[in-house]
Amino acid sequence: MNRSPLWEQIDIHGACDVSIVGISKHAGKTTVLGRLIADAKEERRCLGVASIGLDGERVDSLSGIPKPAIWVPEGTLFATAIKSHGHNHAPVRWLEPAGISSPLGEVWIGQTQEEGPIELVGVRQLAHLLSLRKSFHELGADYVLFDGALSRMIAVSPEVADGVILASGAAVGNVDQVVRETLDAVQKLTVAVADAEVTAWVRKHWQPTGDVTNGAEISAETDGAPERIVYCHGAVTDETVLRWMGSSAPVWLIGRDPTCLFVSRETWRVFLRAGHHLQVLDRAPLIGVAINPSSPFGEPLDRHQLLAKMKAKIAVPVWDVMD
Amino acid sequence: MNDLRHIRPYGDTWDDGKVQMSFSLPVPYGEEAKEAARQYVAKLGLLEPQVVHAMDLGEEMTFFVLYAKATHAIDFTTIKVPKVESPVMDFYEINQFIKDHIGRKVVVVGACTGTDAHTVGIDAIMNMKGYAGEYGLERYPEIDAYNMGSQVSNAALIRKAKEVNADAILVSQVVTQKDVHLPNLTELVDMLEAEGLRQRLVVICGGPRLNHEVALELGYDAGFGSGTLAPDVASFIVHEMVKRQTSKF
Repeated sequence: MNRSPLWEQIDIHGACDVSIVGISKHAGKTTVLGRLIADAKEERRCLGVASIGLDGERVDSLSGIPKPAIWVPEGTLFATAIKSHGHNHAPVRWLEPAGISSPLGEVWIGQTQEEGPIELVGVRQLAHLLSLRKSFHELGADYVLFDGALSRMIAVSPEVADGVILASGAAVGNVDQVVRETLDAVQKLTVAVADAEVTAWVRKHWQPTGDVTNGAEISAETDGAPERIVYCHGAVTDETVLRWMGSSAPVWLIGRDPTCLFVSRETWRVFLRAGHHLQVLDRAPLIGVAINPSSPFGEPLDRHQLLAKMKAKIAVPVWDVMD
Repeated sequence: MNDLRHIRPYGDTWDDGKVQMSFSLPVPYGEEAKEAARQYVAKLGLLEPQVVHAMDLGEEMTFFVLYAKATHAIDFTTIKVPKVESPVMDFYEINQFIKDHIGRKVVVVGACTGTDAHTVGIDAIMNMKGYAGEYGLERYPEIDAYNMGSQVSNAALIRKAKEVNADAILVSQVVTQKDVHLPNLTELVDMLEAEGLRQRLVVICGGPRLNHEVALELGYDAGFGSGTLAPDVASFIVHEMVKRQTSKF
């Protein structure tokens, strides 16, 4: 049996909780999820699956474009708003409420009793993912897969994922546009992790005092060296970066993890060129980039050209999931 | 017999599938233009396209109205539209509900974010005078409402929410061409997560192309479309706040 290239990379990283995020809507996240599920079945891996958006509905709620269904084998654990699970879905045994309410009703954790299609809906927050991951493992899942929504990056938080797959596809434009958008996302997902010394300094000086202090900054000039470390616990935006841009001494601007970085391409570039650094305390490894040359809005891209350009510029494995 | 599993449009007679559509084509007015419109509608999969009105718009553009026959049917029994389950209360009931169940003023911050300068939606919900005979949230004695207006950045909205210790955020997005509203709406929820605020805020979006299903996909708690009035939004906020006092999330 041929080993699945996606699972092979996941195993190399020793990841158990994998988040799939996309550079845009229709980037092919659900296709990647479907592929991982199908390959996992071959290798008899027990999965827990949830989506931070809305997955498995036949037609996209935003654009009306048909979406791929999520087809899972028997024994798959998943979380969804119980009311959205209809008679045309896989037969399921409902195990426990997830404690999440939604406009579509209460979210429950279920386990499929036969193979079939499922819908994933109702999960919206990082806190929901954290709670579900714990429940899935307790209920016997070997691996947990989280599907992101649109271009939301929250699922890559190292709190929930120990591996990330980026889906990138023709929905954002031509080959060069897709490559550029993908590189931006890759830059964010593979941002440098601060060294032990800087991390130790942050851990020593950062005193969380309740959730209201999130978003606060601490900074100090390092002893003896003409440098400054700035730790920003919440969102690092263009505004944050511009505040330190003019500093004559090099600034090490440290964010919590990639989900906290909201810095535009241009600002990031100028900041680095000014001799400063943008790093994070922690991040989940980027396992690979899955490309999807087909677009719901028009002609597909040249997949060979797209693959070649991506592979030339991206250090992690790049796959065409349709292969 | 009305078979709800196979529903087709009703024109002149039962189940005839007749639809009317209107559009413009960038071609000069004339018989060729009408034929182009007919062929276009046929290409959409509709039968018997009939141009019943064509008008010269000038600038080599023509406007058409056509009738045609649709062959597809849909199964009405499988349709599910998420709705807010909590009951909609009126102005007086909402204020009383806040006094009885929350015991302090509810703080709501609203804005049109990004480049959107169309405040008609957020104003209808928030302004003192309200809309269609319903007062806006600013009029509610038990609600502190802050309407930040238009073209507000996500960072500025979050700053305000922190400053006034908001319970709920309302974001209005009226301009949706090329889906410009989507990255903007998703950035806001991800920023709220980064700031550690997501869990304690009721986050709502509103606009002509938004509904609860879209809101769920975007990571919002609810999404209100056209025709929504202040009591719909306020009822959801206060019920959601009370629900959260007792639930895990």
